Amino acid sequence: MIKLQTNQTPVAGIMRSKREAALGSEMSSVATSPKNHFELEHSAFKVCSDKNHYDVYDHAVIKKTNSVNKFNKKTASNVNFRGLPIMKTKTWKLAQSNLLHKFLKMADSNQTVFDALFALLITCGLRPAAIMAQANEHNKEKNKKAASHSISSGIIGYIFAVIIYSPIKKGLDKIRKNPEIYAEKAKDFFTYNGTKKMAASKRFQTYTMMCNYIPQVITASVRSAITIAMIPYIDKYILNKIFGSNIKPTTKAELQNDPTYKFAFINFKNNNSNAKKVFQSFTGVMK
Amino acid sequence: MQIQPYTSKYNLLKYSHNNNNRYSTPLKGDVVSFGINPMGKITDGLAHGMGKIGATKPVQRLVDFLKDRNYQQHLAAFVGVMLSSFYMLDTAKSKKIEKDQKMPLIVNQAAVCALSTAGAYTLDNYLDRHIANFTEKFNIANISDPKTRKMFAKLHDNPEYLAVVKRRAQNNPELKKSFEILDKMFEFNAGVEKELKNIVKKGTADETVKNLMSQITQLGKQNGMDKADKAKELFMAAKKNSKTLTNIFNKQSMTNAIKLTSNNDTKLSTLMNGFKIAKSLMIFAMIYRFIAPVVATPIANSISEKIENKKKAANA
Repeated sequence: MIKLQTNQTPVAGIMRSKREAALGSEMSSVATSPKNHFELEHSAFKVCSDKNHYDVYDHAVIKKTNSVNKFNKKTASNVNFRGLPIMKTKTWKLAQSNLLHKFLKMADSNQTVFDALFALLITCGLRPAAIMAQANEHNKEKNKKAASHSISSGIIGYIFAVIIYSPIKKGLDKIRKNPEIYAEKAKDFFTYNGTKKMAASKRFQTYTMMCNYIPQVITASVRSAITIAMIPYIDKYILNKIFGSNIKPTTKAELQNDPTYKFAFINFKNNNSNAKKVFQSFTGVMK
Repeated sequence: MQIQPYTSKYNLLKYSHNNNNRYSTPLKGDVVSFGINPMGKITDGLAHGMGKIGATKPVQRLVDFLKDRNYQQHLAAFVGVMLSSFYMLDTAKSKKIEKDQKMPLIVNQAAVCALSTAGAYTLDNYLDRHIANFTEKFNIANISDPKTRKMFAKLHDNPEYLAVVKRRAQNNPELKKSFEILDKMFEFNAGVEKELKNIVKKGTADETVKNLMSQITQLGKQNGMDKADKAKELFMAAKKNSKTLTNIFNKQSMTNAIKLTSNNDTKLSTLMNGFKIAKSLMIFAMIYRFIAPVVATPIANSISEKIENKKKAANA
């Protein structure tokens, strides 16, 4: 049996069934006449408009009931606010939608996972797909390069973020919260000798920016080198398998039979010139 | 309870047994953590190291030199351009990438870089303004207590209502506390400065606003305090005589007041934090990581084709 909590919410004020109504005679003895029925529904919708506040609301049940607690009818949440213009906007409705809330709660509770997944989803899924969707016979190879650049930069960006950038961010967060532990000597400088809080201090904000950006500047060359080095492999092992390659396999087969290509690595004398020519014909420059 | 800005992997695993309540205490004898948190130790070390670096004189001088300048946008743009130019260099040097594919890829990288940098300077301000407006509405719509929600909704429609709210807050000990520090919380930040400049540009500014702006632009280096603090002092003094300034102050105070209420409102603070993360991801990541590169690809292709055709013509 559900016990009624009469003083707490308007929902509780509306009885769930006739049987309960009979039991809770003291607080809700007023049975509604057909005339009152409209009033009940009307008030029920007012409550309903405040969905956030009450998790469970089954207004089918309320339609069936015909008793209402008049003593609790006017609570703070039952007041009609419809007069304010801000509440009529679409933004307001969107802001209160349950779907959005679920999504945001997920983003809040799994911040790093969410962040990384989304970045990877874009760089390794959506972006290459959109780029390859534009491809035709003519520019297929070019678009494939752009797509593999996107994938490799996404992967490398994620790895660098996990290993370097995000620990630094967390370290800075720790300083901001407990400057007396992590920055004993610098504390006076950051807080202007204790007159300002860490979060409001311009000096600390500037220092945070510096600490976030300087590692990015330092690591840029390494990051780019690895990213570019990965492009041919992503091309070869992922994109060529999905989209096929324009480079004709016959050329490759011909080259395999070519003795200069086959034994180029032991032919020390003419190694340089031959290898260069073979490489050029292989890549299609000497057409 | 205060929201943690970052939830570590270990915490996630710890709390995953009860998704409905993320503040549930971890189980005793937790298998996952063993009482050791390797990431925590690393960040601890980093925090100590950065604290020590921050105590050195040259760094402090550099910080003082930079703090009153709006360098943030330029720094982000600089890092982006630098990374892209490294990409281009490495592509040109690469031995594995086919020679005839190098040029299109380099042009592509340059086009993406140019588009995103241009976007950062033009689009960001526009987006920021609109997002700020939406954020405010979103935060107000999700305050748990209906009375407070109504109060802030009224405030949003009419910033002058703050005076009424302040008067009423005198009787409410909880509200009184938070409304007392609103003056202290106010910051003369880049947003306020921009808004004032816009007002002066439009020609709708009254005498007080014009005076204030001329005073602020003439401010030199301040000893022992930020330029923004001095500007705030001037602003607060001028506020009494000007309606526009009061409105600007009230608007920022409202955002601050919402932040204060979120401290006691778990649902609101969760949603606010989630919104902050989702906002930067959905909008900025979407634009700079997805839309700009996808739009840049056909442009880059056509440019590289033209260059190739020119080369062919020159060779023939």
